[in-house]
Amino acid sequence: MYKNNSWVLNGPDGQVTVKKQRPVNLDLSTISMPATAKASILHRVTGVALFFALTFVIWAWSESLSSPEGFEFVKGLFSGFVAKFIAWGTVTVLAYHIIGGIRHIIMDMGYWEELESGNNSATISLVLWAVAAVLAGVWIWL
Amino acid sequence: MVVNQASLKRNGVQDFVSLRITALILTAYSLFIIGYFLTTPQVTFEAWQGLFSNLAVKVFTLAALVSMMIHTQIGLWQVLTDYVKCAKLRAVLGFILNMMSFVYVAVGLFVLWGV
Repeated sequence: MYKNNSWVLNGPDGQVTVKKQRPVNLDLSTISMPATAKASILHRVTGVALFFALTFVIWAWSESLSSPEGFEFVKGLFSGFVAKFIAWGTVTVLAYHIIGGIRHIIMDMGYWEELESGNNSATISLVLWAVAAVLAGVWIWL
Repeated sequence: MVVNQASLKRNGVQDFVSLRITALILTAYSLFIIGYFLTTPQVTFEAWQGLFSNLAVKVFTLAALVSMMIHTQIGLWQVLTDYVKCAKLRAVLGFILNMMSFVYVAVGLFVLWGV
């Protein structure tokens, strides 16, 4: 039984109270996150971000297919910074979600599950993502 | 062992497989669309409309949209169960997010219908 921040157990000499020994630190700003933790949380964050980015993507897609005027309107938006930034953000977030997803599927097959290989694959995923983000930026702005 | 078949809840194995199959379809579709933009120097209205009037592209797009609905239903449920402790709030948020993905699919269907 857990009571008053300690475990109350039934030992051979009657009830024993065990104080909770482990310190709990949930202050994320003071926790050093290894590459695997960054890879993991980024997969979640990019997944949620993509879901909301779809609102813009599906709207632009629908509008651009509605009529030649709608197409020109959406095309015109892409001469401005805001639409370009949303497009770059969506492509970049999608890139990480796909890279992280492929890593997940490889891990499902039993590879990269050890400390070293897991850390290496996480680091490589993050580096690949940085490269993809730069390439997407070059593609959209140049 | 009691298996509750009447429950609306999916089981873990089903979620695991559905999440990965839909992920593969979504990855293929993403690469297809990015590939189209990379290989088409000047995307005109005629070319853009021509792409989506192709029956195979319509089917692929609808498959991607339905996959997105299944994928986000599982993925967002995983995120919500981890971070939202209050069951009522979690149910409401889950409902709103599922409705959003349904709207995405419905809008997509009618857009494809009209092209």
